[in-house]
Amino acid sequence: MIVSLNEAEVMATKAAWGAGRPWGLAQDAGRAVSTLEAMRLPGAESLLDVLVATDGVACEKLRPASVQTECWQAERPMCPVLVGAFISDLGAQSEEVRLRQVHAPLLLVPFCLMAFDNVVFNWSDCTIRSSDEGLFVYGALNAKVVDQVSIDDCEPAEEPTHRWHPGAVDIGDEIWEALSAFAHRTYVPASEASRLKGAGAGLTDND
Amino acid sequence: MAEAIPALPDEARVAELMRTPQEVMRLARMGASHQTRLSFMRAILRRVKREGWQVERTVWEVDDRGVGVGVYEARGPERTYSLIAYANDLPPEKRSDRVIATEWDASFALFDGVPTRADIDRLRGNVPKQEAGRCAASELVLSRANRSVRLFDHVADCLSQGRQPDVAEIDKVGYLMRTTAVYGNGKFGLADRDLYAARVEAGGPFRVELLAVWLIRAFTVDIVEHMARVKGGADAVPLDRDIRRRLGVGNSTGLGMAPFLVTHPALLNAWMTARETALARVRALPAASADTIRHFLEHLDWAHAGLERWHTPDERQSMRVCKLAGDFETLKTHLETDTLTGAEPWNELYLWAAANLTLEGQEAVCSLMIEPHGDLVDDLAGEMAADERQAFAIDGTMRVDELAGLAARHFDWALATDFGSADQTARFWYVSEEKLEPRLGERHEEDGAELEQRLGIGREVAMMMAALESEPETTLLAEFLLRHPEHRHAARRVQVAAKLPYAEIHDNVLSATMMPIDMLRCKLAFFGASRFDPKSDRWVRITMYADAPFPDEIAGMDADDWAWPLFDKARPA
Repeated sequence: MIVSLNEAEVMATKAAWGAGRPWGLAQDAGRAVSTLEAMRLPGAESLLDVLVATDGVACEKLRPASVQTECWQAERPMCPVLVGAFISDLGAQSEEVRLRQVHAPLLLVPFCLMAFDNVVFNWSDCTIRSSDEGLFVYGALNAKVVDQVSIDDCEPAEEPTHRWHPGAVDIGDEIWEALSAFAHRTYVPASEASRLKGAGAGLTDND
Repeated sequence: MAEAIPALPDEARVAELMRTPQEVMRLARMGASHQTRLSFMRAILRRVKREGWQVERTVWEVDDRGVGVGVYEARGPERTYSLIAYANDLPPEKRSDRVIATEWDASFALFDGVPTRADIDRLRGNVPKQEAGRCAASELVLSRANRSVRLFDHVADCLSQGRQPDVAEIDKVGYLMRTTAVYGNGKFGLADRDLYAARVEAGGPFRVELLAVWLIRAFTVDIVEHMARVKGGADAVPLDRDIRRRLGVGNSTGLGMAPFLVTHPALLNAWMTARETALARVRALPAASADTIRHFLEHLDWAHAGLERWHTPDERQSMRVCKLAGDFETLKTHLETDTLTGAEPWNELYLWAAANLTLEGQEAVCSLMIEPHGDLVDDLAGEMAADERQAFAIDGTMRVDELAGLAARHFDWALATDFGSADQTARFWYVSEEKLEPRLGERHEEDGAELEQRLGIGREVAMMMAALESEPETTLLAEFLLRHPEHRHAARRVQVAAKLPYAEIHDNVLSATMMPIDMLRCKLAFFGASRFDPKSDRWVRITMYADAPFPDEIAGMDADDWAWPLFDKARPA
């Protein structure tokens, strides 16, 4: 499905909300997906992985039990949107971050770009380095869960492999449909009463 | 060519005279908004005129049933934008101006550049389907319109018989067609705003959408003249230019647009700041020149006379228009003694209006005071764009007691509201499964409130403040939000409000007495709409570009002298 970045963001926001993320956090998820997709990185797919794996799980189980420890972890793999939002909220106060067990770590990237001037991510066999113009990506991006993630300040990458491009992106039909199914949970079914009270209900336009 | 930068009044005095958000951001006042010279339609036409844009109808392939396609190329100094109009022969039973209709009298795309035959054919399979079709990044705007059957048929009949339509009939309706949605910014596959936001002619708010509407207006006249020719053959005549100019494009707008002002706080702030700055600059002027006074009085007369054409069967609005006429009388009487020759005469006039006129009247006077001061304020029209992303990041290094302090300062109205009362939470906003459109439900009577859209910012902030009561003062906001992500939205909005003073509506949009049309009117007045005609408390019809020059005459006319029209005065053609 070829979609605009705005459509991708709106869909991601609704899907995250439909999957139980609070409204404000769902907005962060939407922004993160749009930022990644604008660099032609699989943000929508990453979000879908997270939502499928954490469907019905309360946020409190998806965040670090403590952020005072050197390595943040929870009883189960953490949500990259929750953790990412925390890192971006801390902004320049963020220091090197060590995470154990995270879903779809690619989603951490947009949040950390807000917090750090330049940052390097390492997980499994993947390295992502930021620069002023985009990201240098090496290795496989589509990890669904990784054991360890490190996020560190670094010198800017010299030659980004992914630059920010506004404009339409291609999101796989299956991914789009699965996100739509989460989004669908946010819609209220019509009732007779709501139909009668609709914006212009019962009025003709033949005048 | 850049707009001339005039000497501004004393900056400190301008700052002093800015109306406060507490005063301006109330729904009752927002719902009394009028267009100003900063309104988007007016800014567009000023540019089109200044830059000498050329508009040409390059394709007209419409058959005797009125079915086919027309293309209008609008050529500016840098780029060309083309309206592709698909005309349809719609059976009356399918004509609905609700956003939920599936077929229309005409459908439109604004194309970025000049479309090829292949583009026109591709879009023919999509644009008439509107929401059910797909556009591409080469299209900037998607819209559709239905005829005002009554007026369209009258005009077509008259022209086909070689005579001009009745002006009274024209004024009763005001438009041949009305749009029911004008989509942009990436909807249905259209170009994302980021793709053109840096263009000087397209970067302002709703510039491409309202450029499309101006071209649609030309199409509505072409199609009625076409149908007249089909019917009358050689007897048919074109529409007289002076009559033609009275026609705008209608628009029906319902709940779908209402949440926009809540979901775009940075943009709302930019619009309000520009308008309020314009007003404050005028009020800060130490004296009024004879020329601006004459200009002001002239426009007051035009505005007063123009009320004759503001028709609405809506009882509440009709009463307000009536009182507005009374306000104009009162103002004229006042101006017999106040000759605007004292110190800060515009400020004195503003203060008098605030004490003596209805909200409709006060806001009309604001617009009229701004009107003669183009040199002083028109630069502000270029400062009304905003990127919501700039205000999106949360500063989590703030302590929660500091956040609570900001909330107490900027959401005092919300914290004084009793959200425990049924009336204050009577409504909930939701998206309907059936139409995927925003709707308003009655919380205590209907199901679905658990899927409420979080538009009641005041209540969200009040809930966050309640949660903060049990939180140590020194907690970092980031840590609080990690544990309580349900308050993330409220925390963000408090920080936005602290940075952007006019970002929030200072009223409870969940209350039983809230009128959605107040939000609609505020937004539409910024567009430049006029003749607000509410059809209920939740949808409104308006007219756009009425009395404005058409593309084929703007070069020879004043591009900015149409918002307060006077008809018995000859205009240069």
